[in-house]
Amino acid sequence: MKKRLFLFSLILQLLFLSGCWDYKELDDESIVTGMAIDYMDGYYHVTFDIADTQSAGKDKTTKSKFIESDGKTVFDAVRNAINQYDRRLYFGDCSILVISKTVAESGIAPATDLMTRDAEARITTLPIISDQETAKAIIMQQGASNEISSYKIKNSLSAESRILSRVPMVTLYQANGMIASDGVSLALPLITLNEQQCAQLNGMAIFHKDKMIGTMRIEDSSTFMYIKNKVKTGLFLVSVNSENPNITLEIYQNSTKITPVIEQDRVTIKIETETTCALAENLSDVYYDTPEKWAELANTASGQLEHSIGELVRDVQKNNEGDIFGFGSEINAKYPDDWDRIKGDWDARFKDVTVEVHSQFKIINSALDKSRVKVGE
Amino acid sequence: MEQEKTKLSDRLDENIELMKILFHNDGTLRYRYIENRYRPLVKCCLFYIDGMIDNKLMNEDIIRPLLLYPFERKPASMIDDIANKITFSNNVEKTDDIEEIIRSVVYGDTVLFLDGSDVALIFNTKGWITRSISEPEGEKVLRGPREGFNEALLINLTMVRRRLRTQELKMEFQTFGTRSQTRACICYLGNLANPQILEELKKRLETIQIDGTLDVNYINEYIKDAPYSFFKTIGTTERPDIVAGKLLEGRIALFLDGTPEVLTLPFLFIENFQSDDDYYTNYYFSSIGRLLRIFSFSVSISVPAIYVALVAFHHELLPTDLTLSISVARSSIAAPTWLEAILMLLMFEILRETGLRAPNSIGQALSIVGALVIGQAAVEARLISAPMVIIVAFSGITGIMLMRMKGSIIILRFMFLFLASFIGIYGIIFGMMGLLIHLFNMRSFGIPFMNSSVADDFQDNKDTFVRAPWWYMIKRPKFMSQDPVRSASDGDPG
Repeated sequence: MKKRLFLFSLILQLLFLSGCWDYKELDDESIVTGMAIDYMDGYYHVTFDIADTQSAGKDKTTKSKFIESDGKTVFDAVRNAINQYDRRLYFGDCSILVISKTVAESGIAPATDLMTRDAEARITTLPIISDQETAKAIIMQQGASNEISSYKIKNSLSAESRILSRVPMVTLYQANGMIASDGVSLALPLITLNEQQCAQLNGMAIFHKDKMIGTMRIEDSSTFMYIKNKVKTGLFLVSVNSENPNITLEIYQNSTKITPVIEQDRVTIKIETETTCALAENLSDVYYDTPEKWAELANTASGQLEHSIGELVRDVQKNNEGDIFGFGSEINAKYPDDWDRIKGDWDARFKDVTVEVHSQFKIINSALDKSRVKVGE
Repeated sequence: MEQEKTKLSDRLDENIELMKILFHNDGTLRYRYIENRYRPLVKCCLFYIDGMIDNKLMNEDIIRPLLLYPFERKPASMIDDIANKITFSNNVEKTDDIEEIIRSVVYGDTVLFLDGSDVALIFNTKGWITRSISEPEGEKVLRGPREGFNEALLINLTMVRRRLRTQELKMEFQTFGTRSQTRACICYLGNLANPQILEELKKRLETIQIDGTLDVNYINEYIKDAPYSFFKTIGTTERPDIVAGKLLEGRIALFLDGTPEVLTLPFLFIENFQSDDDYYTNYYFSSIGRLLRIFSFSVSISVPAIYVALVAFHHELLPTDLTLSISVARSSIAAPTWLEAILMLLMFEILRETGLRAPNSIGQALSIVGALVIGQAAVEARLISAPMVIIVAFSGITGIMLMRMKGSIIILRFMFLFLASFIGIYGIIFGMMGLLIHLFNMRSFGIPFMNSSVADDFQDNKDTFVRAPWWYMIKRPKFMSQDPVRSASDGDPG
């Protein structure tokens, strides 16, 4: 019995030796919700969006507080922030990473290295590119004066990908994967400030490896999503007998298949999309009450999508932007030996690739009404 | 040093002298000197303790016949005649053992000394007042009988016997305590109880050497397995229907005079979560209740520890909104999280304990004071944070659900909190591992303590986490009894 007690007290001592390990109180740290990285005059200028928990109380919501600091490297800037703020920064809830265009054009991999490598920062952070002069303008948007700015941006991005599917939502680990792989190009959301100084989605930034080479408007980036098979839901606007769109189709499901065909050293890419949708809004004067009319509408829609996709690919080829659609990885999947041969100068060869698009729309219902609101005689 | 066994003499006045010396300074000992009306040579003296006898019984059934019997001539054995023919008592014993005489007199019997006989008679005249039968406070049920044991051994035994009307119900009497001479009874069903367990129990009971066993817990601590563990390996109950149920499962019950609690052994861990009205209410409802109790046990011991571990060590495990709200709640609180937790838990335990012992009038005010004033005011004074109040209240309330295990729950709660404060979730994991190793190593009278707490045999689990309908429970727990088949139906309700 005495021996047992002695042994037990020895083991208990071990507990005290650990010295409370890494006990950190939650309110001793400041929670960083977003980061903006700029590069000026040889210094990384980092802006931190911190949740201001000290001045928040029962009745007030938590607001953002901004801290800017400079450093030779990003981590240096992080540590220098202590000069202004007495608490250590906690990155576990950092949800977005805004990168200015300048930094993106010289490569985002160095800027995002800290977030990827550090254990505390999550790799599900969303990197986004700022369409303004600086990244900090985006994160310090005025439109979010009563809430946390970064969460607002993040929520709008995730709502975008859930509801509209016009712009891809790419997390940091996905971005790293895309940068690292051969045949896929990175595309990140592009955010700008609108007239009310609120952050707003403005399209897409396209990359070659990790350097930004251009941007794409929202209309084009919607088409881009079709090609990349990332459309989950959203709207498709069709113009019937008019210049402007007058039919709104709500998309339930879309699947895109990309089939490369290599014949005698010529590469042809076949893009096939199949979209299931419903007639959601009819602004035209056509009554869709017969199956033929439905078929006609489906054909019109298919034609327009094929046209959009084709146009986009041709534009990209013309601007020498290289293969941003990721056709290379499809070729790798189907013709691995040929890919090994051509991957060296794939981006140059991309100009001469023929693209065949075939779309099919299936309109399955038209909500509650067979045709449109009847206008009396 | 062996004492010479005091012998009774056959002279009445010497016996009277002996009794007076033995009970010197005891003012409640009375004696009644009787001379028969017809034969004045028939002289006897009755000794009894005032307050412990039934006066009417003694007067009418013992004194009256002795006074009025028309003795004619001297019979061969006067004492035998008095015992067999004259007195109207349903329980007469002849003895010359002075120890037995003393024991009987102090228990409420009357002893009769006859002039000319060196043998005394002991009559059963017990008439002390016992508490009336009421529902036990600690084991209340929604449905079911509301009888509870009281402090008289024989009454408790009858309550059980009424439920098991078989001659297989064995009751073996024993006495414990050299000064208290408390009577105890081992009770079991002869054709169901495991004879090896019975053997072991008797062996352990023989080792008890104590001068007074005032409560059955004294015996409990002597005979239980794992005496240093804070889990019970012998169950206690105050309800006769539970005892009857356990006897039918092949367990053994131990009654002690003066205690309304009865020991049942062997006792398994899962029995902590079984309540009596599980069997008297609908099986869905009782299954939910049982699962709720098991859940409450695990939650009650680990919630404060997990909270401290998450908030102080593993911030990355918290969802963002929770991180923000806890951070807001904890800003400018004086105490670190572990200290907050310990203080609040202590406060809760103090309130609970005080509420238990305070008289009713103060107890009401105390609960209001405790809840509103201390909790609320402390939060507003920024001594503790609001989430901590919730955590502690939750942990405390789920702990109270299992009153039988309250000792172990309190200790385990503090132990896990202590471990978590040092090394976060690792502490909790190691604590859990240690606890499980300890639990699985324990045995209760040879039966593994955690038997049927894990799902290995379907039959054994019909009564553990859920309560299966009666038509399903066709077997008794394997380990304990001799006869495994409980009922004849084979899982068919029809």
